[in-house]
Amino acid sequence: MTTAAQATIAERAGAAAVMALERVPAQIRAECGVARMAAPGKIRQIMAAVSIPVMAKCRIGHFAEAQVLQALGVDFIDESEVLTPTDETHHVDKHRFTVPFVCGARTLGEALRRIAEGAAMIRTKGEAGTGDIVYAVRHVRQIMREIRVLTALNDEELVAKARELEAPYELVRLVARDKRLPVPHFCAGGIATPSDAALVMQLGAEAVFVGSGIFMASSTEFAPDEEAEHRARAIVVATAHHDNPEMLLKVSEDSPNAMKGLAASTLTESQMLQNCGA
Amino acid sequence: MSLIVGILTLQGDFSTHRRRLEEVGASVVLVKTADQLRDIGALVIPGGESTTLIRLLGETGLRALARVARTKPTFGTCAGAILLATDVELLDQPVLGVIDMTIRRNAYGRQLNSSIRTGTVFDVPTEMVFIRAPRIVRVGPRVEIIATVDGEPVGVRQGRAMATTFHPELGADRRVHQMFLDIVAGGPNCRHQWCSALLRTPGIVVGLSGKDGPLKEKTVRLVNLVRRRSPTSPIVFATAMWRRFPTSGNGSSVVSMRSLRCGHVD
Repeated sequence: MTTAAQATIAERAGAAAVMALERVPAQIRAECGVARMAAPGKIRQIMAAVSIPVMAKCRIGHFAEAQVLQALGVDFIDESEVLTPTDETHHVDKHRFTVPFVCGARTLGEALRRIAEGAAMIRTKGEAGTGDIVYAVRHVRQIMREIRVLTALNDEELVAKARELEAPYELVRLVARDKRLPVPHFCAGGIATPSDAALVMQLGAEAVFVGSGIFMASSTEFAPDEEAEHRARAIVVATAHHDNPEMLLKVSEDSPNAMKGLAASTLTESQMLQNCGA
Repeated sequence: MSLIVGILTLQGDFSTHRRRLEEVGASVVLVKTADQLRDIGALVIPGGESTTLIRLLGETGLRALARVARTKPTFGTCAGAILLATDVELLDQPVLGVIDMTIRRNAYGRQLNSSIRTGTVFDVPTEMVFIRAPRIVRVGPRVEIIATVDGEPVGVRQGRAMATTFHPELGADRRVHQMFLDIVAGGPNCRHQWCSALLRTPGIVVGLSGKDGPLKEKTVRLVNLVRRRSPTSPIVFATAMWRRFPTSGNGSSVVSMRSLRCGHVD
């Protein structure tokens, strides 16, 4: 979110962490311009407002922004395709940092490349800021399916598969052995309702990131605080009780309004944030 | 017959706790609601965010959780430890009040101040993972300190409740989880369990050992031999050496007369 007040809403609603941003993806999409790391002052305000971990975004490849964020003391850095990419070829060398990083991925290969660079957590990219979950679902299913496929291969086939995935062989072997990514796997990008959260959790995500879906009424207007609070609470409960339809029904009734959203099918290739950084 | 332990799975690293518990031979039940809490006989409250956990539990959940924590063996790590305390320093958040201690949240700082340090569990060096850890700043008179780092308590026990500010589920050492299982297996009061173990099972072997040297090695060999040949014989130690034998899950009881602690796996 973008303000300390919103961070407090999130903490009160039961969020396990918050992400500090200059603008949420829906705004970035609507307002254009260059999207960069948030102002340190704003991040500090959010850090002071809550007791839960605070994450912040840096641009893809912008290791100097990452250095600033580490100096600031944020709990996690998201090297994010939602911000305007800095380096079209290289991501940050995350091993050089002590602060952990989360990166986005659409496929298993992408996830493993980020992990090889040092990412400590992976989130699916989805299509952020749209409130349209179709791509998040595609990406979660893609990664889960590719993991399942790996477990059926023998050692020689894994070598060939690693080349096909364009991912390090050792990581491919680890995934085949453990039947999961070696890091936590969260879902992000377009989650807007309690059912959306429950859906991706049931598809195999371990937790969800929700931004525009809680705080925006439309791409440019914030939802009123009370509504954001209801939505946040509903999504928190839906995520925890994703396997309980009675609970889902109850929270859906308590939080009827969702962000207006933007159908991802109406976006052109160049408007897609997910294509940044493969 | 394996012991059944519930894990609170609303939030946090419950999946790693599950793996560890299964590794030491327990069967795990995942618990989320007040109803499910009523049905379990032992509970692990994993690390995560205590604020989030309190929110997700709600009043009903917290009441159910309090009932379990006060009457059944309960083990809390990090956020779980915070919940089990009687006081949280400087913050007014709901507590279960089962272990008489004051705890300070995020005492070492943020993620960057998280660390892996070497502490001791009883006298045994153990690698401990601290993540945005809380700090135990005061313990009451009836609280037993079971783990320390640089002399400070990082693991405590009162009655059948156990708490650690570090994450044993994230380290390779299974002794802390084994210790909890011993409490679960121990019946109403583990301290006196060794009596019933001795009285119940025939074929007792008493082991004596010195601190180091050939006598200790002989004891180790003897113990292993007994366990192979006579898996259910209780083995009684006159010193604290019992802790050096990870329980194999094959039914042997390992007890210590001197320290009146017992390790016991059915």
